[in-house]
Amino acid sequence: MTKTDQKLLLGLLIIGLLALAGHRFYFQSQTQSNQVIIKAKGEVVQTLTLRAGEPLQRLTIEGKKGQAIVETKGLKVRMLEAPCPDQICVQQGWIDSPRQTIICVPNEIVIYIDAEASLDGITG
Amino acid sequence: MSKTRKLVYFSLFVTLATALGFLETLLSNPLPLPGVKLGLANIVTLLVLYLYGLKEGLVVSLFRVLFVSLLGGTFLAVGFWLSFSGAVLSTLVMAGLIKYVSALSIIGVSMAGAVSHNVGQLLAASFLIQTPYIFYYLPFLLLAGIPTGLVTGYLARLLLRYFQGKDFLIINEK
Repeated sequence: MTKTDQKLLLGLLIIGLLALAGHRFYFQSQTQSNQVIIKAKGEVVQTLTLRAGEPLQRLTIEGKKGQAIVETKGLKVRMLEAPCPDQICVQQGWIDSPRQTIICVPNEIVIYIDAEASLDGITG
Repeated sequence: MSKTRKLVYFSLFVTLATALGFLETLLSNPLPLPGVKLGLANIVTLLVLYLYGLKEGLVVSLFRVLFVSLLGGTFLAVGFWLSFSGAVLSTLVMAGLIKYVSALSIIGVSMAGAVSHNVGQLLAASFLIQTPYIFYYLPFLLLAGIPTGLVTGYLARLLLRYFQGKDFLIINEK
């Protein structure tokens, strides 16, 4: 590695860490209710309002490649099963804060928590 | 250099890149994030950029994206456009750095290529995937590009040293 390589490495690392710090601030918050939106092939197919203590529920969503199972529990939501080869969406696990997003690229399913419609801990 | 000879070399480079790219779709992802991978095929793009130039690098990386998508059955699906955008952006960035920032070695160029590949994918995703919060993934994609770019950069350096001793590969006889 040349000196310039090292400078580039440091620069990219700083930008990445700054982005990560901003990310923590923007994507982590306490809520009283979460508005979950599920899109398949670009269309909204489900809108759910989750509150603390919500019982476990499972939804079957038809994606481009086949059926996916979305699970919700309390304020959290995750992709439980998906027909995609990479399983990235399943491995990502639970999301529970406004703006957090799960994307399954092969199956064209997007799950996210809408910030406008979710009640945060302070105003709620 | 004859046209036939050139065609043969480029076919080999495209085949190599396709094989590496397809191999990677079979491996499980190191991180559960869409678009994060080692980027082994980028080794070939780097070599072609260093040995020949921008036009040749673009041709090889675009054919690679096309063939990998045909093998994986994702041609013209969302994932294809993500790879396509990542490949175009990273090839342009790497070619630009090779030309204008000579103080960077192949390792630095590879790192910049890996990061710009991830950013390119995310930019395409922000158009193609209808979610207001696509940049949720940005910091992870930025940071993931650094180690993957380093690894592929080191590998590309080893190969480039080998290839540069072989004058039979030089196509541009300027």
